[in-house]
Amino acid sequence: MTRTGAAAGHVGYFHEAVCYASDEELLAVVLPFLVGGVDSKEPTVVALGPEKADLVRRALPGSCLSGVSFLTGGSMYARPAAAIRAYRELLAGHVADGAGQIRIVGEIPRPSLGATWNWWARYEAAINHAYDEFPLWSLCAYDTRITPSTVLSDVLRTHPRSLHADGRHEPSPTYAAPTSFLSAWPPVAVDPLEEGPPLITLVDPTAAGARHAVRLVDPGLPGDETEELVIAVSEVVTNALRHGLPPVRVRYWAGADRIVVSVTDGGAGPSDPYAGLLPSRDSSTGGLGLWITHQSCNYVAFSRDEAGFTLRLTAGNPY
Amino acid sequence: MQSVPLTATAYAVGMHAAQAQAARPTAGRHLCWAYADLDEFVGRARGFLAEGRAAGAAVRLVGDDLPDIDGVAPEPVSDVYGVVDPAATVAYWADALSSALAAGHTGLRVVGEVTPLVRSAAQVAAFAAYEHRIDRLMARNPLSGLCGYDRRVVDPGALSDLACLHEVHNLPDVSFRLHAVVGSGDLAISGELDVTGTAALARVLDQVSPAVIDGELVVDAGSLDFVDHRSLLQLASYARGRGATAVLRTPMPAAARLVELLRVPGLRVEAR
Repeated sequence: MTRTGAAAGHVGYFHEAVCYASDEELLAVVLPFLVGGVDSKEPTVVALGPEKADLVRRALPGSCLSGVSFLTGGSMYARPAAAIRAYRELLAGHVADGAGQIRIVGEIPRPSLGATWNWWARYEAAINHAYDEFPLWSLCAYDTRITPSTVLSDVLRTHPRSLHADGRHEPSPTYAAPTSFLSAWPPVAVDPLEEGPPLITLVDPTAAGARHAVRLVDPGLPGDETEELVIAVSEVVTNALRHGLPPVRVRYWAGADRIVVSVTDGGAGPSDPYAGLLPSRDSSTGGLGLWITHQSCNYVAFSRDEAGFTLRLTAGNPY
Repeated sequence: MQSVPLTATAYAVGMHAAQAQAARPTAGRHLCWAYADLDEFVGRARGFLAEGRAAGAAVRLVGDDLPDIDGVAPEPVSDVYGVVDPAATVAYWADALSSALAAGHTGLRVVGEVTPLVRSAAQVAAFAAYEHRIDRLMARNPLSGLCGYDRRVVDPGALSDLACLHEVHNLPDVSFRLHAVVGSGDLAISGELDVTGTAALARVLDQVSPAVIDGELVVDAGSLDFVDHRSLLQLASYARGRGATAVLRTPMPAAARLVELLRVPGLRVEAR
């Protein structure tokens, strides 16, 4: 089995950004990509939101429709660590079935281009590594009409190349290797709750004490969100106590729709650039706990300053 | 008083006591009290025995340095326990319970100051196995015990491991309990299991060697308030070592979610 299309001869992940300004531009890129995949009998996948998926479905030649699988874009892109796991399993399944190449066009849902973009930028960087063991050609679609310029700048830094409506494949001049992008620690926007005093501050607590405080500040978030945050706080505080440097300071804020917990220790934070996005096999580094944390919160942000390393966790609606 | 020879198996004796339980379905309680002040422990023991006597139970007091408590004279530890043989010692108490019931008591309450029995690592291991076995007898029968440990003497690590084998203990740093329940599997884990308990969990599982039935090691976790991934991995690893699957029965959605995330062989969560 061989690679086809623009990825012919490429080994591993062929990761392209598509920055489009109209539905026509999107279709001009996506339709040949999908038809080419179906013609080559490659697993061909669409992971777009409902409106864009409908647009593509209506435009596809009828003969191609049965060869394209449509995933719900929203569920694939709920949380970065979950998306990586789901995609890796999907890809491994296709490879096991003998696929020579898999084609996927996906789009990160609009809300993730806002408050939680930071961890999606980390996602886009990390998958250059996380999907590189698979013969994958993917198009990551970004609508330039709604995408902030800072996000577009990260898109170019995290995608080695881009595909344009006129069919050009261009290398990205600002592309940064994932380890370099992920080690740069861009500043994280402050949640407005953090501008007020924390409801609770704990210094060097036990993990049990840190868990208990989550329940004390819970405004009554729906479903299991609070319990998932309890798991995350337990893991992060355990990591800070074991792998960080004292003092470990845990601060809690709550609004009507969210709980924010920040855990600061005096250390430098995880040295693994993929920390949290990929499960670490080495249990001695706390990497599994950080991965579980990324699977259990609606937003996880890393930051580093002269005071040390801070992990901020959000349950409910990230701001 | 010597330990009775083990003429019947512990299970048969247990069943005998269980028949008595049918008439008086009061499960016993199993408490651990670590103390640094003997007078404080004697106060606890006095209350425990008085409560039992008020409920019509026979009472016994075992300990080498204890005073008489409200007319109950202490029996020497060596008379009752000898060299601890978990099965034989459980059979001894099952027999004592039967005698108490036959004499018209509602049950049997025992205070044991057992510090002399846990001085060496080998003694601790044997006594831990005994603590769980007697816990199983107490969960099914009107036999209650208050185990006293002198924290000035007993190794702190050993004390923690022994404490968590009681349904109730007074060690604030020991956050979980592994104890008997009546039901399938007979084993419960309660409290909170996080990184502070993972190593202890491994040790006590080895010591108590819980039953594997039809390839499953069933754990009633209805009173488990938190469990982290380390403890789940530890439980799964123990079960695999026994050629079994651990079945964690818990209504906690978070536990089911962690197991789904980790996809650990040897572990399943049942939501109840």
